[in-house]
Amino acid sequence: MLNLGLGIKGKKLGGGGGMAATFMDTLGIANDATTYNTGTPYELTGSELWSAIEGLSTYIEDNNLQDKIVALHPYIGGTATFHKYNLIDPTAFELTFYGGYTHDGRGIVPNGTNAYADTGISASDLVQDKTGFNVYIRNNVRTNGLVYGMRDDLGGLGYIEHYPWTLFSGRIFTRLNSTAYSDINTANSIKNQWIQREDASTVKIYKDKTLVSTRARASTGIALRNLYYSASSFAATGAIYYGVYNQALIMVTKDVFTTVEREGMIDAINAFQLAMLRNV
Amino acid sequence: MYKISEQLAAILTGMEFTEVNLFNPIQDKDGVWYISEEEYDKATIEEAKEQLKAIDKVKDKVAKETYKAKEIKIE
Repeated sequence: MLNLGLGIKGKKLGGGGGMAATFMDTLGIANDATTYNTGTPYELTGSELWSAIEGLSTYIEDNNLQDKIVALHPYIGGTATFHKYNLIDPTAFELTFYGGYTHDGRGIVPNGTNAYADTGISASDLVQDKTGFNVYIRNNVRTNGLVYGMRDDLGGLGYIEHYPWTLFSGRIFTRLNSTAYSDINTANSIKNQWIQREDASTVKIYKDKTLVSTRARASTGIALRNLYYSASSFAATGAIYYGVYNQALIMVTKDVFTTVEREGMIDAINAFQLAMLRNV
Repeated sequence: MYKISEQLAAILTGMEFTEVNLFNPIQDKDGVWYISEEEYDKATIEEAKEQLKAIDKVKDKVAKETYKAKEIKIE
């Protein structure tokens, strides 16, 4: 469809299949002046939320990226009900939250102890050696770093255990922003951190549009467990604790984005964040 | 964090405390069970609130740092 870039009543022409409308209708948010997160710095009308989601979905649909994305959960602020749906297909990979979460205008904030979300995404939904993961977290990350990835409960007495370096085709999840890994350590938040397995032997880590690390990681297959969204930070002792970080958006991909696609997606995500009145 | 009994942990596991959010009792390396303050404070579902009455908000409350996860090797 030719995208004329025109706006009619806040709606943009083009954008293909109405992904935004399906998503927002599922959430039950009308394109009107009803306010959400009222009285907070993130107060927006239903129309403004529609516009934020339309911007994101239009880029995805206009570039046919929905075929490369397994799930994209844009945390538009407010409640667990608003946060559980997948933009690409609201009938698939609906999140179930476990433990202590706070849902507000910032997005999602896990409590740092026992919070995680089950995506329902399993090995059969992913493509080995082409899987990627993008996370947008607003906070700065403690100097000990952060692992973001899959919860893998191996049956140990109810502990929430993470073994991210053994999962997802071989260590696609890695420690981010750690002083121990200077190549990906930054003074800023880890917004738009994109971890992409390029092939059977290489994982690349991007921050915004910058390639910050290329790592030789042999593919070891995709884990047979569901993908869980969570975050762990590392204390100096090496003990794992869940991190308390504002999470604004999470995306799981099953195909490698081209540079143009990835950078365009990052622009779209940043625009979404700005539309949500969050800093980028 | 609130200390809870093993029996209460078993009851709460898999139970919703608010819409789309389930309890996730966790156990420290000494075998003590806990739920988080968010799970206690944000509970809106009546069945959950009924079960949480077993918790003494003063006596059972501990600092989050009390819970220590299992240490594992990091590469």
